[in-house]
Amino acid sequence: MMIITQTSFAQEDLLITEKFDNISFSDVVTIIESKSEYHFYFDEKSMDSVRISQEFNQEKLASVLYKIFKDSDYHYAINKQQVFITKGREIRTELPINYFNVTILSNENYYDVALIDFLEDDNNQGLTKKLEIHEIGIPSKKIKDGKAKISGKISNLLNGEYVIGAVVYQEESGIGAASDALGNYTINIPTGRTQLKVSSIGMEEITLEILLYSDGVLDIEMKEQVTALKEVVIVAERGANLTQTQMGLEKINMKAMKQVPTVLGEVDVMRVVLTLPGVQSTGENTTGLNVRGGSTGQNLILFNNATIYNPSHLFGFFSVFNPEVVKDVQLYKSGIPAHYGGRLSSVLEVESKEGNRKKFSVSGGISPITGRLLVEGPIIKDKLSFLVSGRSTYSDWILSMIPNEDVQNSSGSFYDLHASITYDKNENNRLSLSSYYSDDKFRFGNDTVYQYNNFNTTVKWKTIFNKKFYGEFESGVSQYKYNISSDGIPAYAFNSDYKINQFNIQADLNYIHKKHSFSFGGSSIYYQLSPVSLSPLGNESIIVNDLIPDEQGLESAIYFGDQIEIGDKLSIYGALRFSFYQFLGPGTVHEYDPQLPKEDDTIIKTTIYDSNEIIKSYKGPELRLSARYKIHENSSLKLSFHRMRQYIHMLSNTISISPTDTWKLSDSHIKPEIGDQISLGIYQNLNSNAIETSVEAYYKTMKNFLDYKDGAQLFLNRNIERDIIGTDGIAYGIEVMVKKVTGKFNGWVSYTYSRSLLKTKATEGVESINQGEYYPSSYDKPHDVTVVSNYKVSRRFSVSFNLTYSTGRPITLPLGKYSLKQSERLYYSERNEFRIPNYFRLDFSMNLEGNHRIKKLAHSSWSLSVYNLTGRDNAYSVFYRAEDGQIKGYLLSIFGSAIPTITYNFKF
Amino acid sequence: MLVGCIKPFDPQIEEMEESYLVVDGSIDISTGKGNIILTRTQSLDVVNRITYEVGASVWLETEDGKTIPFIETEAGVYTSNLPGLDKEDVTRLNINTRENEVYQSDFVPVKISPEIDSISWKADDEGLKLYVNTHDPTNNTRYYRWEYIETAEYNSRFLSKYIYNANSGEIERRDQENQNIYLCWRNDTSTTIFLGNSAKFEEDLIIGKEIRTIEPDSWKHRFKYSILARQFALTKEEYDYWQNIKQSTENIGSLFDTQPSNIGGNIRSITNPERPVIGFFSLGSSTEKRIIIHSNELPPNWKNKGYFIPNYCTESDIEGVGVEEFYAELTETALIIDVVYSLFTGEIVLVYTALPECIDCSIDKRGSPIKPDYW
Repeated sequence: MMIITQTSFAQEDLLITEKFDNISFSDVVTIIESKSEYHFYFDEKSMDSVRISQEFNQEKLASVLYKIFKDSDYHYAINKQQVFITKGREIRTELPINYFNVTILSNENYYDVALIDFLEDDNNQGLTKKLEIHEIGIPSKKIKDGKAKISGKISNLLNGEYVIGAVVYQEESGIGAASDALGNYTINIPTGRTQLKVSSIGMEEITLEILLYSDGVLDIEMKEQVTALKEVVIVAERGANLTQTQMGLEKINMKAMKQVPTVLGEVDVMRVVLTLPGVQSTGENTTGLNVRGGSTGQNLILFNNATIYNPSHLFGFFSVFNPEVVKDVQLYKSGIPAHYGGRLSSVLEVESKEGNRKKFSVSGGISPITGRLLVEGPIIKDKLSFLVSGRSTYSDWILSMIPNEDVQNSSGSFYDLHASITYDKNENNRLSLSSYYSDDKFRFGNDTVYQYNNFNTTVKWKTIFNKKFYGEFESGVSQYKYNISSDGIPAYAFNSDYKINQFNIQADLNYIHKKHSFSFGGSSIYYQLSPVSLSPLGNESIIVNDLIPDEQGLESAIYFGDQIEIGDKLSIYGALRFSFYQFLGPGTVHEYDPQLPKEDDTIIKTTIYDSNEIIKSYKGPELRLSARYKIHENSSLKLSFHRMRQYIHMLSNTISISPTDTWKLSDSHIKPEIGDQISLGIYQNLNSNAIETSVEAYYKTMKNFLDYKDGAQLFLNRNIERDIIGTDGIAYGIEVMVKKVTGKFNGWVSYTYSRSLLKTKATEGVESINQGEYYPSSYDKPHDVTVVSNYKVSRRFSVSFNLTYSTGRPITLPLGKYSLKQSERLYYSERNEFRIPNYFRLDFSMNLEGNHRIKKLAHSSWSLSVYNLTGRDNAYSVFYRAEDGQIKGYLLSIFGSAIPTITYNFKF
Repeated sequence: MLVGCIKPFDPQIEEMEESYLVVDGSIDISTGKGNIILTRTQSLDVVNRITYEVGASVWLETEDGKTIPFIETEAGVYTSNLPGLDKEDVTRLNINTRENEVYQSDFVPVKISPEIDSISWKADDEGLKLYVNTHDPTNNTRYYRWEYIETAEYNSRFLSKYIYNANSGEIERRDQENQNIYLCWRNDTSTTIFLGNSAKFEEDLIIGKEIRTIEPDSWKHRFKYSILARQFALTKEEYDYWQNIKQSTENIGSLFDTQPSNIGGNIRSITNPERPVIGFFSLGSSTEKRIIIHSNELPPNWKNKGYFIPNYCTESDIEGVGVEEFYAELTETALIIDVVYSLFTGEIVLVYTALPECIDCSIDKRGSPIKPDYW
């Protein structure tokens, strides 16, 4: 069956003489397009199977197409120079007025406007595409030369959520703009007939045909990818790597994360972040990130703008972010914008989904470890929506896998909850409330119970004062606490608590004036910290109350920045942040003899401060600079510098972050950490942005880094300054990445060379390490290769492989041994003089999606993953230990075999 | 199936270029005799050989100027009966090696340990667990260290009923009382460092400090088991020193290890202050306590599980040899299980024998055939 509707007669004179011998339709199109002005619109995938073997002699296009598609289910339509091919349904190139609620104009002088609803058969509704020409501004017979401004709102077609950070981009001129916090964008481009590309992670990229007369409004609705499999593995906005001034920013959306092979079936934000260049960890059991040579305590981890102090569940095997609720993740490694501050190495921003404004939906999943559920929907349609989600463990078999007898005899569980409400008062005001709670509990051995919680709540108000002036105001509370209790021996039964409370307010404002985009604002955080305490549990306990006084501090900052476009090629962001900090009373401060190690005997003065008295204050400017220069169409060069100041420090002297790690405020002895980083990057896109390549180099210095004396005791230490050594650090590296973002086969390959070195200020005595020479930090892993790949076999089925190789981390090993107390003992090398064996791991996963009818009640998917496919015994650590008086060498690996898991997900 | 693992590994570390002095300097004055043992550090691949530091001069020096000399009684072992040492003395250790390196410790007080209140025990699925309990009514001790020597009884596989008397050249009945080689007692010394403190407690009280676990199928409690616990009182500094050694040589290999390190003791080189020296000098008076546990006090299902004897000793290893042949191949270690007399002549015609380790429980210093007096 074949219907031809032909309404135009453009290029009637084109006659085709070709011989096609079993070639694909795409190739036919290429040939015709190359010889004519015709442009074809069709879905390549649906035409994959069409092979053509025909000969044409001096035939018109219509006749050629007729012959090709005769007896097939395909239809064609020719409209001037545009040719549309559809499957199963015919196209009319003329539609009733207002058919799609879009004004259709017929402007003879310029273009016929064709509005084609290019629908596929029901099974492929996910691929619905629109081709239409949008006229913007006041129509006139003749378009004035010059530029005109288009502004509007970008939202999600399905749930009405504003799309933030979507990039609107005109390829020819290279002009681009991003949507702001309320989905608004403004772009100034040359008038006339052109194309605008709109892309955002998690959304289908769209190309809008526009006819720009003068300044006007264009609201854009983007469509979420229903088929997760169609999504590229990790999507930075296509082309955005070139246009953004920001460098060292990695953005990942959840759908992309779901394709990365998992360990134990839990899709994990932190583990995906760990595959990015410049991000490392000390082992497979930890979600502690070491970003560009920084420590795990130097990352600002934000969940909906609230600080998360302990991002790990269950000893660090999982992160606290429920994959069901995460929308996207951004990691800033360099050129950190001025509205962020307080940590040296990175900002990891985890953004949750907002409740669906259009309809109710339930989704969830089950893996060998956890069950997850998410419910969302409108309370008032299009205005007020909610989202509630939860995740909980239902088994602790993972513990039996950990090669440690104490752990195997333990039991552990965790859960996390998240709820949010979003209210759109009107199109210029949005209010949202988000709350998060996570809980971990495990019983170690027979009698000791560890429990820790993260809790936070934030209220956020986004408002637009006018087209040029908008802002975000926020207030929140974050809390982290842990408790250890033990009741094995009643006389020794104890409770030990730690708590940190943070109250913060923040205002971020943006003002756009001509080519300037000003940003300014301020923030203030009040910290209240209760150091680890010890108290008796039960009447029989003889434990003495050991309460270390609370600490209070106030960290504030103001900033002002300007992003300026100079010509089409250069874009500069410059900002100054000024932060100030007060360590507040009550408190007792010891002053030590500066010539001697800090000990009881060397105290020369003790001062007692009253409540809210300023004990010590620090302040300083933080300069933030980024510049981008577009070398030409497909390449750009970026340079950035930032200084960060950190007033709250993680105390941890274990290899991996442990649940009992605590945070400490800067005080009279512990100075703020100061970090400077300069980085340079060059970016080149190939194959019309389908392949992105980049090289980024950085050099970083860290002042007042915290390292610890040999044998330091951090638990219940009243005078922690005596065990901390003031250390300075340097880190440098180069990150090379090639990324293919589209196509059936996508993914990336990255190679990183980096170093992270530390040096104590003292060159001798107990406050020195390695005689004050540089020594590698515990996460200095010079070579790192990562390959992440995804191959889409069909729309419903995809296969992924991950490969990771890195140099083994530094470790302190014995040089010799001696005999003491009836056993051999070890004589150790200087700190981190050796390395564990190199790390190599290959992972595999398969995703099978259910049927993708949009109207279908429930969607489901299965995924099978195999972690560590080759079963390699990767070393977590290498150590020597005395056993029955003899020294023996061992290698400890976390996952010493291939680990397969199956996960089931659903949504309805 | 999915279990991660700990497996033997040799990271191939180069030999240590230098060796440093190691001082075992915990002097226990309770026996009226003090020992200082001097050794040297070794490369990791050295097996079962200790390098002793011989020919050094060792002496104690009290704050008020008394000098107490030590004499090298064995290679590297320096002994003194501590003449004139008073419990109130504050003392330091001096060492002058034969290569003229001078080492000196800090001044330390004499720490007197309180009595061990009791050794308690518990038998559960994990085995026989032994605990020490102690307290100091003056609340002054606070920091403790323990060692133990355990004794267990075992028998050889075969009872030797006869003995060859070299003097008379005759085979005689063995006197099981005085010529016992069937029942032996083996001593084992603790190889781990046991530490405890009551610093965070109201009272100076240590309850249930576990010092030993013996598996249910061990041979050690087959008949009778005894443990002698010895308790030392420490200063805070000495406690920290042993804690660090324990941390970096015993409690290592967990997921949350801290940096292992060589923490300095209270001894330093006077000749070259940069030169490392290992060890902690302390003076103390220890206390001890012994308990004995009979196998019938333990769970009945633990019975008859473990043997100490080599498992290749079986009935079929018993070899019968003609008496002429026995005499012909006679060696001093020849052991006789049993003999067969001729019904007609009354003479020995056949001698039953087996490998010596299946008959003599004391062979290769596995244990002593002399019954301890507390048994």
